[in-house]
This record gives sequence, structure tokens and C-alpha cells, in this order.
Amino acid sequence: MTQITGIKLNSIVKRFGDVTAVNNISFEIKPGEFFALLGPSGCGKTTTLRLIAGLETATKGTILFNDQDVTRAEPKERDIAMVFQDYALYPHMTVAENIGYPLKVRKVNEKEKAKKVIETAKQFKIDHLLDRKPGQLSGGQQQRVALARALVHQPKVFLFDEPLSNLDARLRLESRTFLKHIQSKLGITTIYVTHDQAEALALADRMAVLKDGQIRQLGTPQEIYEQPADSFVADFIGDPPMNLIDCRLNPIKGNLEILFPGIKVTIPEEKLVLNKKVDPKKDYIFGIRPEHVILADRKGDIEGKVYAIETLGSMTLITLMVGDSRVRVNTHEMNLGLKIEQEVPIKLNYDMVRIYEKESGLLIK
Amino acid sequence: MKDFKKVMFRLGYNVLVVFLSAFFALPILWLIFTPFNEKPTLALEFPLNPTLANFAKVFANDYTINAFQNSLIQSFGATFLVIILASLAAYAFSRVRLPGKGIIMYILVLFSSVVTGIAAMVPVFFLLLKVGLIDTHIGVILVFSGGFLPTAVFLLKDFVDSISTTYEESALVAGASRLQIFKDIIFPLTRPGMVVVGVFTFVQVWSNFLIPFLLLRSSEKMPAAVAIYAFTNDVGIPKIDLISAYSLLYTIPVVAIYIFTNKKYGFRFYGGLKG
Ligand SMILES: Nc1ncnc2c1ncn2[C@@H]1O[C@H](COP(=O)(O)OP(=O)(O)OP(=O)(O)O)[C@@H](O)[C@H]1O
Ligand SMILES: [Mg+2]
Repeated sequence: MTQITGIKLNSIVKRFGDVTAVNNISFEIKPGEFFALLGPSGCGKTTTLRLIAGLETATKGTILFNDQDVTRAEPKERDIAMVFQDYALYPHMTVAENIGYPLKVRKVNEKEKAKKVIETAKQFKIDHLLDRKPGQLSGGQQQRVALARALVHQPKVFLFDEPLSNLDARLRLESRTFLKHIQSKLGITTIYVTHDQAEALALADRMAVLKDGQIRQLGTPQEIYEQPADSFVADFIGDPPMNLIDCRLNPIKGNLEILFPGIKVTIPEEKLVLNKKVDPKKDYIFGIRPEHVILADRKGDIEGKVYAIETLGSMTLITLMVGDSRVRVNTHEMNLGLKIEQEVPIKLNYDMVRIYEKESGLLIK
Repeated sequence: MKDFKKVMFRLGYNVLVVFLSAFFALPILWLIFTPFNEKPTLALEFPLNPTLANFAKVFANDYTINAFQNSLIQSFGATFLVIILASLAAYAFSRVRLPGKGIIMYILVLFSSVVTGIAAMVPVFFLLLKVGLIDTHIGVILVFSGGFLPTAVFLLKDFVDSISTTYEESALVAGASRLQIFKDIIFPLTRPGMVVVGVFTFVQVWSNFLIPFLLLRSSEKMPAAVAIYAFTNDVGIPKIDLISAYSLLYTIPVVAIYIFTNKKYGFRFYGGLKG
């Protein structure tokens, strides 16, 4: 088996002219880990990946593979494999030649190369396509060929740049599962770039959320989902997205008044313990995931008015007007017998409520 | 009345087409038929008793056969040089981020026609004289290459531009060197462009009279395009029998190259490949 590699980025900065694509990023990837880089378009994910691949050189900072400095090393000295968004299959070579290319440049002899190519192709169930040209393959088949080519020489590190984004929804799901299976089986350290939060949550052991070239949060998918470190991450992660409602907070004699636009809720102080003293003159953001808003039978914390009901197969998404704000409620119950404009009492799971400062976006609960 | 006008128009149109076709077809027909006549003249005559005697006369002449060899040396020499240098230069021009490279490109293309043009012949002649390349195949090949390179680079750069850089990057990550990448990826993908450039250069060199005529001195180095002027008798009257046979032979390589490359690669004037 290949040697398992850990990766460390220390204060990496990458500038293109006066554009700072990556702005002081540091993180560590443990050997064998599946690590995702998630963020909106232009946040520097691809640049970070290309720095790790050696296709770009960092302006500042160092990159270590197993404590060995590779910051200025050529791509070929790093023993990595990369799958590109457009797959980059060589159009003039057959599938077999494509898969065998990393072996060819390593001067592996013909017999062993042929054996390895067939072995790998079988693993990806594309051994019947070996004589075809990439232009004669479907999107899903091309993706498998790209994966096979990346894996054939057993790289130390596996890099992906949005490898699923060219596939249709069904195939994307299938390929995602396949990828996860292959990675878990081989245990190769993997870095996966995507702008699709569901993909990152599903695949990663740990992930980093990027914005404007900086890391906003680093952690396991569960940590990031449950405890988004700032209002950007809170908004970015989750589908349907988290309810984020502007509010003011007003502590009164052991109670906490939450002033939403058009409605006020008063709760005992100990239900919502904040790690910072609240300022009644400041704006805050009240965050709660749709699954933590519960439709109550009789008496709830607040009343809402049904705005829309959408059936999503396994669950129902109900949008309520609470005061002047829209609140999404996600429930597994299917036949609720609700009608539009109907008043419904709701309860909030205060354990799962997150409060952010509006100005800084920082989490204070 | 209206019908009459219509008929007259069609008639006129057809007569014009026939006339024009005949105008362009006549020299070609003359070229094909005349060498097989026993007594070739400047008139178009269908060979009723076809004969190869005129060709035999051409082949009996050492000078003419030698001229064909010279043509091949100069044409293939310039073609290979142009293809190799132009593809390397096109790769660099396409991939290297260089300020003002567009302008450099246009200036080169603009002035390149000067090199093989009449105006520059005197300085080019003296230049070759100084470096001792007058009356050599190399000299002729270099002058032709210099003249055609910029256009060739310009054409090929378009092909290289259309090759996605991710092919190279994926090869780079897979462990390939720059040279390997050029050989395995850039070269095969730009080949259709090289074929176009190659045929273009070959035909231009093959048919050029002026440059070899001026830059070569000894008759045993003259290419076919120049040699054809030797077919006159002592008082300067052209020998139609030899000229006609020789002309037909002269066109064969060009036609053959067109057919061969078109069959093998197909002419394509844009880059990129699918499948
Ligand atoms: N070669 C380059 N020259 C100049 N600017 C660049 C270059 N590559 C990237 N950038 C800039 O750096 C920033 C980050 O780009 P990057 O490609 O890393 O984003 P990304 O997160 O991968 O986005 P996407 O999801 O759209 O692929 C962008 O503003 C981009 O315009
Ligand atoms: Mg990207």
C-alpha cells in the first residue's frame, strides 16, 4: 500500500497581481483524511488546491507533506493525483492510454502497465470501454476514467476540483457514494473542492469553509452544521437554509426579551445563555435550523401564520410568517391538515438556537 | 413577355458559366493532354495516339531530374524547419504570459512577407553572401523559413490556444516533464494545424522561382521551378515537347501532397479535437 501522507499549510498567501486569491490560510490534514474545501465562487478554493498540487507557487507561507517542505517542489516531485472539473481526458488517446499515462511517464514497463490498467479499469467497471476515445463516453463514464487515471499509480494525495459538477443530479449522487466508498477503502489522503455544501457535508471527515480567501470555519461536518461560527457560515450551510432573523435583545429582571420585527418573545434568561453581555442597542441575528422549529399542538412559544407548504417527499417544508419574518419549518410528518393563512403555535428548541452579532457576524451562542 | 425575359436570363447565365469554366479549364486540359501528343504545340489537342516519348526525353536529361531532387530538398527542408520551429514558437506564444505579445505577433506577420518579397532581395542576397550561404540549399531553406515562419506561428498559435491548459496540468501532476507534455499532448493535438502549415509551406517553396533563381548560382542546385526555363533551343524558342511533359511532372508532387494529407488528416482550419 502507499505511504499515507499528512498535509500542513502554514500561513499561505497567494496573490495574482493585486488580487489576493488566498489570504493567510493555515490548516492541517491528517493522514488518510477526507478533507473538503467549501465556499462560494471566487473564494480561492481552486487556488488553494493548485497550491497543494504545485501548479501555483505560494506568495508566502509553507506547505508540508509529512513534515517535508514542498512549497517550491514541482508537481511531479509531490506524487499526487488530481481530477479536474472538466476531467482533462486526452482526446486523442484511448481510455486505456489515458489511464496508463501516469505509468507511461514513470517509465513502467509495458507488461506491468497493461496489467495495472486493466486492474484499475475493472475496479471502476470501465474495462469494456478501454479501446474507446473519451469523446465516445458519457459524462459518468468520463468521470470514472478520470478517477481511474488518477488512481492508477497509487498517489500519496488525491486532489479533486469539483469533479461532480458536470454530472446530472442522479449521477452526481451515485458518483458521490462511489467516491466515498473508494476513498474509505483506499485510505488515501484526499482534498476535495466544492461549492456544494451538501456534497462537502456528505463526503468530508473534516472541512474548511472559505470566503474571500480566508477560512471562516474549520471542523467536522457535524460541528459546522450545528454550530456555524459566523452568520456567513450559518447562511451557507444547510438545505433548506437556517432561519436567520434580525432581532434586538433586551434583558429584563431575569428574563430575556427577543424583539423580532413585528413580534416580541420573552423567555427566562437561563434558556438562552450568551457568552457575551448583551447590548439592547445592538442588532443581533437569531438563527435556528428549520428542523428545530417544532409545530406545537396547543400552546407554543410564538404563533405563526402559514405562508406556504411544500412537500419534499420524505419531509414537508412549511414556511410561516412570524411577525414580519418568514420562518421555515421542516417536519417529517406528512399529513398535517394545515391550510394557508392558518394560525399555528410553534415551539423553538432553544438548545439549538444560535445568536450572532449583526455587525461582526460572530457567534455568541 | 415575362417568360421570355426569364428564359433569356437563364440562357445568358448558362453561357456565362460555360465560358468561365472553359476559361479556367483550358490550361488544365492543355497541361494534361499535351505531353501525350507526338508533336505538342500551344494548341489544345486531344492525344489520338498517346505516347510517352516526351517523358522519355525529360528523363533522359540529367539536369532536369537533378532539378527535381533539388526542389524536393528545398521544399521538404523548409517545410520541416517551419513546422518544428513554428509549433515550438506557437506553444510558447500561446502559453507564456508576456506583455505586448499580441503586438509582437502582428508586427512579425506584417513584415514577414517582406522577407520573401522582391524589395528585400538585395539585402537578403548580401546577407547570405556575408555569411557564406549563397549558392547553398541551406541558404534557400533559411530564407524561405524566415519568410513563412511568422504566418505559420500565427496559424498554429490559434490551434494551441484552443487546447485547454488542463490537459497539460493534468499531465504535469501525473508526473510528466515539459518535453513529454509537448510530445504526448501538444504535438498530437496541434497536428491538424501543422499539416495545414506544412502543405502551405511546401507548395509555396515548390512553386517559387525568384528566390532560388537569385540565391543560387550553379545550375546543378537549381530547383524545378527554375530549371523549366532551360527548355529553349539555341535561339530562345521554347521546346514545347519538353516543357509540357516537364510541367505535368512538376505538378504531381503538389497534387500528391494535397491528396495524401487530405486523406490521412483532412484539412482543418481550426484547433481542438473531439474524439
Ligand atoms: N491565474 C489567475 N490570475 C489572476 N487571478 C486569478 C487567477 N486564478 C484565480 N484568480 C482569482 O483569484 C480568486 C480565487 O479564484 P479561485 O479560482 O481559487 O476561486 P474558486 O473558489 O475556485 O471559485 P469557483 O467556485 O468559481 O471555481 C478569484 O478572484 C479569481 O479571479
Ligand atoms: Mg474553482
